[in-house]
Amino acid sequence: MSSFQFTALGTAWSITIDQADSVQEVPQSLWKSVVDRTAEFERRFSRFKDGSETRAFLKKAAGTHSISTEMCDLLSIADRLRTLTDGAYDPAVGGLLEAAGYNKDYRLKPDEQQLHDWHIPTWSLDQKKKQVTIDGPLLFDFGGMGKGYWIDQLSNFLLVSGYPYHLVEGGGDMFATTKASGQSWKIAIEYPGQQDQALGTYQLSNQGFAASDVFRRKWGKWHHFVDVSQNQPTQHLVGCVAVATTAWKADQITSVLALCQPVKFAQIVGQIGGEYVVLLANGEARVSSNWKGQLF
Amino acid sequence: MSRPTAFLFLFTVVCAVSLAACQPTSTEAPASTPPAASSQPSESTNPETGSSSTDQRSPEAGEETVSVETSYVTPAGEEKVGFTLYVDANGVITDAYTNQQAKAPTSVMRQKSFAAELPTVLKGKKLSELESVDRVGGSSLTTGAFNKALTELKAQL
Repeated sequence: MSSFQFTALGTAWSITIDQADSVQEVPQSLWKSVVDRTAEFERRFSRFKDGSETRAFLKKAAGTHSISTEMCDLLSIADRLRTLTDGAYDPAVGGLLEAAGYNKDYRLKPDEQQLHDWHIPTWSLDQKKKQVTIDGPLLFDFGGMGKGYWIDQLSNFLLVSGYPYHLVEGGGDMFATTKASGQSWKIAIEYPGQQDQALGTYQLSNQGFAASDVFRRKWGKWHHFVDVSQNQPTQHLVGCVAVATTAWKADQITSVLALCQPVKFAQIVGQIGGEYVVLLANGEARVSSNWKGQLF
Repeated sequence: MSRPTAFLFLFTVVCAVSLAACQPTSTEAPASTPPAASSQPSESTNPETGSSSTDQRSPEAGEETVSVETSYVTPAGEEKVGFTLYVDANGVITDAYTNQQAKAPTSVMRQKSFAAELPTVLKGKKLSELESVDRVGGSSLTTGAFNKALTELKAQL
């Protein structure tokens, strides 16, 4: 097994490659490519980077603007999630997060005036023309699904580079193919809020995994799941995990679970496709009926 | 009325109301998920999730059971459902079981899916006790412990 770690997109990344024939070591050039490509993705789509395609919208006037193919791909899924969650999920939430203090300097002090004045921008996407129409400057944030998207892209890169047996992890979310033997990758699922505890395990085999909770990105009374209808952090959920056929889907699922009422979980996740476990603030766990992992 | 029994009655009322209030189109099983290719080991899954009618187990040594039956009204008529809680010697609820007694097909489906997503309490296990773990999955890792958050979580429970 060859492993490589690096830091990007605000968290720790790890890639493990399994090879049936371990005579040929994985070349350094592959790891360099991984780092370079990820840096490029971050430069293009992080709301924290001046010059990114997401931050560029802070300078754009109301009207219709052309966007790149990849921006269009990301926005089209974000648009679908926005519809699925009746607007609770919205990538235009970037401005609210910054007003709350979650900006590139991690100010972490809410600007009460900005918070009070902020309203969710109106935007619409024309996928065919690759254009987005906005009602004024805004800040797009792909925080709820960019990582999952990128994990899949890296997995695909490894595949076409001749390394089909691998596990790509970005800050606890991941995609795993199989080991060279065909066996699945066994992952332990961290218990939200309890770093040395597992709430269960999963045997990943060509599947994506994502997890989210309120503890990691938390400051004052804020955490990073934002309910745009209230301009407040959401209250009911402590953490959730999801497994799906891609890391992107798993990431999407954890994002919508964090923003929807429990009674809608099964229905909404059914539209995306996947399995989930949710820990609610009252101590209950909700487990989807198709969950194939183990729970403790 | 003992505490587990009182809890069970409240729990049953809540469950029955939830079952009766289920929207016709909701389902706990996602529509068209491709089958997961994973091969699970023989360890049992979901030890604390409510089971369905075919596999109610007898209480173990030190465990007591508390059961109650109730009925609720659906468009198809009155349906019955039962719940059994397993309680250990310390009065801690260790398991829950749904006794599905629905007759109408829609009610059967809903009781099944309800039983499948029965509220569960996950105790957790020490990571160090697990074997052959390839990776740990969790929310985005940042440095440092979150003791404050943990205290707040405990205060909420």
